[in-house]
Amino acid sequence: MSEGTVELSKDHESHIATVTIRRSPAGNLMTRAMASQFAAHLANVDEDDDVKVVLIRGEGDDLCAGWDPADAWSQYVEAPGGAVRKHPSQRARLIALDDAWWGSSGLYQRLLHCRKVTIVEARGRCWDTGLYLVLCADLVVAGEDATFGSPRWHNVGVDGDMSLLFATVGLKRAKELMYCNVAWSAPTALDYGLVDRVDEAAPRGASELAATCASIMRDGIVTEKYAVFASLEKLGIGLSFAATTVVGASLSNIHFQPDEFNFLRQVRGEGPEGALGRSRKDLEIR
Amino acid sequence: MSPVDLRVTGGRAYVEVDSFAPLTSHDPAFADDLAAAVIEASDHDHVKAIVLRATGPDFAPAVPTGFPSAAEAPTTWHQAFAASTAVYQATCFAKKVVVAEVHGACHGAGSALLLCTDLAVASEDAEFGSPFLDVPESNFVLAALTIRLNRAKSWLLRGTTYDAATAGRIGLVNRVVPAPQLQTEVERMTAAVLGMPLDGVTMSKMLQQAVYDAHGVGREFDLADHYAIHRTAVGSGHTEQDA
Repeated sequence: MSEGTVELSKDHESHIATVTIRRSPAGNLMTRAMASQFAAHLANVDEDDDVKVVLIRGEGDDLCAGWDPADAWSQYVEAPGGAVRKHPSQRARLIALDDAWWGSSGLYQRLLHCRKVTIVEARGRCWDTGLYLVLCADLVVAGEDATFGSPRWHNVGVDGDMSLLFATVGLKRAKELMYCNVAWSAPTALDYGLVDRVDEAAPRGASELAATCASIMRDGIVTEKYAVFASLEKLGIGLSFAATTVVGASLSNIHFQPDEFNFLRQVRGEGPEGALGRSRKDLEIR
Repeated sequence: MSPVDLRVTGGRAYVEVDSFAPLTSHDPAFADDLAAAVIEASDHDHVKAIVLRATGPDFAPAVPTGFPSAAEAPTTWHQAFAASTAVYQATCFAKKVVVAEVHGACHGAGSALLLCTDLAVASEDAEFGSPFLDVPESNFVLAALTIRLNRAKSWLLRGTTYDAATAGRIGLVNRVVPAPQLQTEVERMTAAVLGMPLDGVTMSKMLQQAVYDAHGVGREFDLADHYAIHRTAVGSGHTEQDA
């Protein structure tokens, strides 16, 4: 698979920064390195008083088709204490998940606590990491072809935060996504409150929304964002992210029963593309 | 023969009763049997999904409720209906995915139990009464998380009965199908659960418990005894001052 990058551009005249995920040949599958770039860009715009809005988009047809399984193992090996033995230590798994994704400097916390208005232009597959970009952003404009889900959960269990998902779409709908191997179409996601609008021209719709938000005074934006941060604390999102890190690390040690589809073995045997293709063939779009 | 039947086949456990109405009338023997069946299914090493099914004409028809005395609430009533090992918490915190298969009337404890399940499929003839009128052990936090705070408050205060289509629209159930397709749809939904690794199902449910705790689900269960005592006073015609 191709290497990916996440690029930042800033237009101080319009007060809009754009973060673009560039790995379109691979559906913008996210790696740890890309997540770190992404988080660094969010830290950058957080310090820039001339930016009011961050627009997040993917190059090509998809926002992000998931977390690259080829990278999932190496991030544990490369974390502190990860290469001491044949298999990465438990501390390495915890540190890797915390640093790149769920911890205070990880991608999701950075996005969730960004002081600017964050808008996702959701097109094509918004899966796994793509789903969490949608959940952590403030506003979402979906294209008609967008789909939302986390098919990796069907393979290894739910290793993502549940709290935001519960708060956004409700318990039973969240659990359909967690346990039933489904992804939601754009109209369904709109119906359930996961996205704010569906637009046949999502790039235009997202840009228009960004321009509208950029017309708001800076103090107003930041004040509202801190009100959101307070609500997130009350919802227990921080606790949930910490629990997710613990359970995610545990799930990286998962044992499969003899009759179960062994996703991790498929990744080793067939490579990530083959394993992903096979694991997602029964995904139902509702 | 026990009124609660547990059958395990191919990764699914079926907990079958004529109806769940005896929970509304606060029948402790029924509640104990039901809790035991859910716990046994939850602990079963080959089970990934637990189906709650009524074989009678209704999931839980409306029946007169029975409130405990103030003395019984924290003791015998608590043990059967509000304890961590009692039926609601056993269902809510099961280590496997619990699916409600609902047809006909679903009132009182039927709706309280529904809130404790993970997933639900309803037939088009199903209707859902408020659990808060007659079942003090109902968990309002679960209701707010499931159908959102404004609707949960309306369910609590107005005793609204939702038809199946509305229940689907507001997220109280996942799917609504014609009655003849109900069991087929439940099989289809649970087939997806069976496709997950057993470790993945169990660890996911453990994470779900932690998130529930963060949202105050457990603390709401802890208040059930107090709600029961209040309900006893109100139900027996006492004035607020007497209570």
